[in-house]
Amino acid sequence: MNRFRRTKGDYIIDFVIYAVTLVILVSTLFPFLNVLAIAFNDSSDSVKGGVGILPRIPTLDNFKELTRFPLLLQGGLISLLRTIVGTVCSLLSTCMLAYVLSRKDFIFKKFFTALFLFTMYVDSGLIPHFMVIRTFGLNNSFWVYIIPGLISAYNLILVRSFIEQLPYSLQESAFLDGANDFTVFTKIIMPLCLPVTATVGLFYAVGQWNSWFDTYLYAPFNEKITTLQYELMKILQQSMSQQGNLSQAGKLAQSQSISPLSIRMAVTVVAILPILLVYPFVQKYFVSGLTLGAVKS
Amino acid sequence: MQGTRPRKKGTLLETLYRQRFLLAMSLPFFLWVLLFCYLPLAGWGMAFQDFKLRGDVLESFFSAPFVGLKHFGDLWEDFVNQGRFFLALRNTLAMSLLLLAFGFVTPIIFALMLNEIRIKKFKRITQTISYLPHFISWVVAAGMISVMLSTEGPVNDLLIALGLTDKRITFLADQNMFWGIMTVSEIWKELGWNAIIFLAAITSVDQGLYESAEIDGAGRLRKIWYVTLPCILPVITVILIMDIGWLISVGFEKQMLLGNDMTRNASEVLDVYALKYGIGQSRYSFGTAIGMFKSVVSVVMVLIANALAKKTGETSIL
Amino acid sequence: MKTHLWKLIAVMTAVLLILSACSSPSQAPAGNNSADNQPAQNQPADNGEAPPAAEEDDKSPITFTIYGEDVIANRVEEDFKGEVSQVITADTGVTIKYQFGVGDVSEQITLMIADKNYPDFIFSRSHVSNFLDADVYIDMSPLIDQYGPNIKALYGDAYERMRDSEGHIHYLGQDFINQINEDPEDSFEIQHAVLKDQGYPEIRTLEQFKAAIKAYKEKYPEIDGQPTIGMTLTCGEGWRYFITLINPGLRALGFPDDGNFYINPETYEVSYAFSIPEIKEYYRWMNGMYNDGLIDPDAFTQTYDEYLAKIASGRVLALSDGHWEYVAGEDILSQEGKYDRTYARLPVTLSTDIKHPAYRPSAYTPTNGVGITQNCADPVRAVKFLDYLCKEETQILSAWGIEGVHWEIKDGRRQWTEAETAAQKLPGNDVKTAIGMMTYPWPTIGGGEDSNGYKFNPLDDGTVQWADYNDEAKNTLTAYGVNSWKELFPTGDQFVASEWGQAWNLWDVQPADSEFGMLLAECNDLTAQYLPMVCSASPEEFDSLWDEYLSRLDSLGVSDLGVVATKLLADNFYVHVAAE
Repeated sequence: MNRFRRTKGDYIIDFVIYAVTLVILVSTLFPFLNVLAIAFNDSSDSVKGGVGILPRIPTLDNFKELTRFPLLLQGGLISLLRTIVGTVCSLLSTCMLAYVLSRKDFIFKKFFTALFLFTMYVDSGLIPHFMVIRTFGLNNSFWVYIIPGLISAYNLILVRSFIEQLPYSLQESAFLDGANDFTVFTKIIMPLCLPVTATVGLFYAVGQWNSWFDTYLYAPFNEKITTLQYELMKILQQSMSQQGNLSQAGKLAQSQSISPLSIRMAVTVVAILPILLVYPFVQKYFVSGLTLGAVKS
Repeated sequence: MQGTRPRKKGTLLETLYRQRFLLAMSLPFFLWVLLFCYLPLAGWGMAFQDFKLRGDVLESFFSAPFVGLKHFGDLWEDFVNQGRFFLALRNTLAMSLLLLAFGFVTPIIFALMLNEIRIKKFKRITQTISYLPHFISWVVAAGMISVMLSTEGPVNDLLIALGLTDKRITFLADQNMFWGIMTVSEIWKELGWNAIIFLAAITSVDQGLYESAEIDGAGRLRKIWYVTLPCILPVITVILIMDIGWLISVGFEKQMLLGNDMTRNASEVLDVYALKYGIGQSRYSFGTAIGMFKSVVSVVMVLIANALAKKTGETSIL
Repeated sequence: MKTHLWKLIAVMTAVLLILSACSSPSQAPAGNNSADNQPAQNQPADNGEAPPAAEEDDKSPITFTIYGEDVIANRVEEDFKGEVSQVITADTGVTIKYQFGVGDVSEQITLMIADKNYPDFIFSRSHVSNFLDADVYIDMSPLIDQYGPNIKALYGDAYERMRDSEGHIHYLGQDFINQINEDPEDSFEIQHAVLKDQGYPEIRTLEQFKAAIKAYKEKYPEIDGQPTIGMTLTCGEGWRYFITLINPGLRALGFPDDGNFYINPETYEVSYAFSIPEIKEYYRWMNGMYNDGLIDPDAFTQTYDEYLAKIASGRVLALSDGHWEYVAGEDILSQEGKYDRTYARLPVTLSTDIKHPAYRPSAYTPTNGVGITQNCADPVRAVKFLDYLCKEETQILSAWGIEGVHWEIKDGRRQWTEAETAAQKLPGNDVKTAIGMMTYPWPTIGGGEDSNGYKFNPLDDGTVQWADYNDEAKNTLTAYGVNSWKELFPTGDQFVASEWGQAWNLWDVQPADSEFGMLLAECNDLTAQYLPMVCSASPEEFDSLWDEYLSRLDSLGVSDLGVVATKLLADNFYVHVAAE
């Protein structure tokens, strides 16, 4: 880095960069603050609209409303569990397979790569996929969150192309020392993969945490393994239907209620917060400038 | 202690034996991909049937009447007559291409810019914040975009204040603007998130290369152009090839939420059409036919993109 | 090195084994075995003998699961432990466990059928035909003959209408039995402030309606510092355009809510409503409103949240909406004491010779409701439970709660106790009491009086209504010389009753994957696309655009749609009429 001498051009570049970044910063921060503000604002006041980045009438009522749903806490635990188990399983599988596919001499390299690559694009349809899941007894089981989506071809290929960029000489010397492929993978490749592993791990983890559709399809009524996101979807749906186009009979329940808008925002906050808390810890792996050069020496 | 050293020629059996570790490390996943990704493709048979779900699925499947290419014929006829399938296909490709043209380079530029920021704290905060919209669901985001673009909203206020228009514009009612609105919203929402992978790639660039470039007297822009970009080019290429395969499936949630009946001719995409007129009408066979069509087109496009990448000498996937 | 390989293989195998062991189908959902604690002795007796007395009092604990397709209207009880629910459990031993769909349920229902994993009860709205095709429901009629005297008594004449063409009963109607005596849900609404300012003019026609809005808007271009909006709609989210854009057009012509269909009351001939020439006039009126700047330019695109925010700001002069849809915005105005900005409900139509159809009577419509599935382990107990729900005491219990706690007889009427009245203003009271929870989608009587002469339904009480009106509403009603909005509207006896019921759910009974379903969806899509365009076009373009719309409807085959719909009506509704 040329931190010693800065030219005029450098200052111009800096100015442009900071200006653009600032615009991005504001335009991405505003909606989030808006969500926070509405989530912490009085529900009937929010209906009037126009809440900016600060609540007009601060309250915790919207969140208290959420505590009425006993499955939320359990759902949170299941979500946490699936995020941890799912990320670990997927990450190990992806890296191991990626290493095998990165080996130019591997006999099935092309065949396997194509096979996995196409999984991203082929769509077998709802019913056939379900029948396979059912045949393996995965529906209504926790493992439906882990196994069918074990390897994402996208992540697999990212990791593979990262490994391919590593100098082959690193492996070669290990082979000369008599190491086998598995040892090379665990002892040499894995440590070098840290930046891409962190990234792909983040992708897997966020995917696991945010996912609700698999619960909806494969385990909608098994409360033992319901996830946080699915329960939040249920709450949202219920609050909406209070204003839905239903028959006369629906109107008989007697109560004041929190508006769907406020529920939606409170739900968004509950869903995002855990990721926000974890992110800084992951971030350091790919922002702090961990470099190949450093590892090599 | 015989070496697992590669590049040794031999018979097939010898090769298999030599690569037994590699095989052991990959065969379970081979089984997995066959069972969970390719076994269900047997269901494509439905595309050539008039499948109706009556109790047992397999029974329904084996007793459904075979209709040959009827559903594909319907799609073709619609396509030729420029009906809804044609429009949906056109809209899907148009929005995908716009997104590829603008949505693909912006995260790269953003990642390069972040990398140039020297204040570590500012860099971290910017990055964390920029990816926040990724986690806001499209329902919430669409609500905000609708408020922004309403006739009384800030965008119209701004345009009037700048004197760019004297009549307030109903953005969301104009089907000519829909693709643009869609592209901008998507870029805004995914910019930070999509930059993550490029940031990770940039961190892997050998610092030594910068130093030697500096010795050669390169400025910042030159270093980006001659060092950083070439180093992350393989990642860019790989992601580009994979994205090209997705040109035909642009998702449906955002189009459904931001589109409305007035803009349907521009906003209805293939996935929405398939959902509405396939499974929504219990027309499983028709839905399967669309899915099959999409799959084949995607795979062909990936192969073409891959071949092109190979030809130009860059990294390729296969 | 060999040992390493074996280690690796061993680990991989172990992982696979563990995964497959964990994924064995051991965790069956509650729906399957909920009634396992019931021995199979309760199978229906085919010989028609009366069951032994001991079975009548079977109160052993049992859990019934129910799937509700579109979510239960009020909030569902997660644990069935509300005050009313506890009484129900004490009486019958039954606990109800709800399962319900999220989002677009088509996929979920498809998989439920593919999995053959049904709960004990199913309540479906627009997927009834999927369940019927897969033969999911049992035929309840023999069981009701044996165990369901209260079911027959509650439904009365409507009972026979629930049979299909083969005489089977698959589900009990969910709509209120007996219409109730409340203010109209759907009408044209205008702020009290506008009426007051104009000296409470007579407003019967669309032209008078428009004149009042226009005059007020010109006089007050701003309300509370924001631009006045003549009238607004919400069409930006999926189905909502039906409520504020399509239904008002049909209402203005005096058509009952038969969906997008018009049914000739003499010939039972069905036609797509928008191919009827007169309907053009409503949208011509809308077009005029739009071009005079009286309709919000965002009306056709805005979200429901934005719509409510505008109503809550008090600057929307008029609406054409269902009360249930705009009430959330109106409530804010009431909370802030801006009663003059709340809305009067008026029987506006295209011309004075058309009667507003709010109270047009229709026969009972049993197109959807709760049915018992093949998976229910104890259908007898299930029917007995439904029978219990249909009892008079249970009907009062589920609509009013517990006597002495939630309601009491005072001044010759059944009314809420003071404690309950106060509690109803608190959040979460509905869950605590569970009042009203069992009124949907379970069988419920709407209007009328019980054997003691007291009202069945809290909403069915004119005396309460007057007290509930705010001061401005009272002023308006007094100015028009009536005691309730209802009195402004033509009474039911002025109409020919719709013998077919309410055909807006006509498409619920169509066979899945049918030409009719496709055609209807395409026609509705076209309508949804053209109506906003027609409304916001310039006056000169209006006619040509309307003609374009009609010709495209024709090319889709809208006349075939009418033919099939006529047959569908005959098969599913008219047969009941003929049987009576």
